[in-house]
Amino acid sequence: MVTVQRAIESQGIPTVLITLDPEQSGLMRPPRAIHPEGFRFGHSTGKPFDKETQTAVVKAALEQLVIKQEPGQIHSLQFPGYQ
Amino acid sequence: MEMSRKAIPYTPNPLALKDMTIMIVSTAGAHLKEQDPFDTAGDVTYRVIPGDVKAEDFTVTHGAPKEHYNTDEPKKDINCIFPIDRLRELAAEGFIKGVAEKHISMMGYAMRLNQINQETVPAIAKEVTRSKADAVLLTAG
Repeated sequence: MVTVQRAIESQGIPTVLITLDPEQSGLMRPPRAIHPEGFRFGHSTGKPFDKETQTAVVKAALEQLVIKQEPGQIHSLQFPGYQ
Repeated sequence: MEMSRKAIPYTPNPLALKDMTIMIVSTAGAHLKEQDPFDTAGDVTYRVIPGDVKAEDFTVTHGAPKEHYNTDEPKKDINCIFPIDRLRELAAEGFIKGVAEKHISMMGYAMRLNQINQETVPAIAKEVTRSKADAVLLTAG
């Protein structure tokens, strides 16, 4: 996935990744990324129909686009609504 | 498009979120029920998802072991991995300007990495640049 991200970014389009595998994604140095801590695969944004958590994760990811930052970091974030 | 891993491609973003149209690119194996499923033994193809799609038109095909990635969950609600409804709501409330006219989906865990890197990934990047999206939200499952 980071390969796709890097290719898009190198074409001049900003990107942000939601990763649940920060170790693997970190090796590939994503331009911008968040890691929702403790989420299981299949739950990139949260559990089915948990609109509140899904919205919070999507918003947190999009906000990375307007924060000036060093590329290559994965921001681990907690979403207490996800159990 | 060979790049060193040390050099991180990074496009500065001058826009505010309220002025941005967002596209989803996902490797979580989402596709429309009417589209061909991914080949779970390894797939180098991608699906273009129309912007006006309904969440219930989706299903998920992915080759990862079920104990690693249980696709039953996103099949119940595609927004778990492909947050199309959440983006629409954020556009409706003015948090972002809009949702792209199309999105792109592929299956990770795809094995044939050379072909993916040399053919699939550049084709996806071209689809994105041809679109009017200002930025891309990526999900991986």
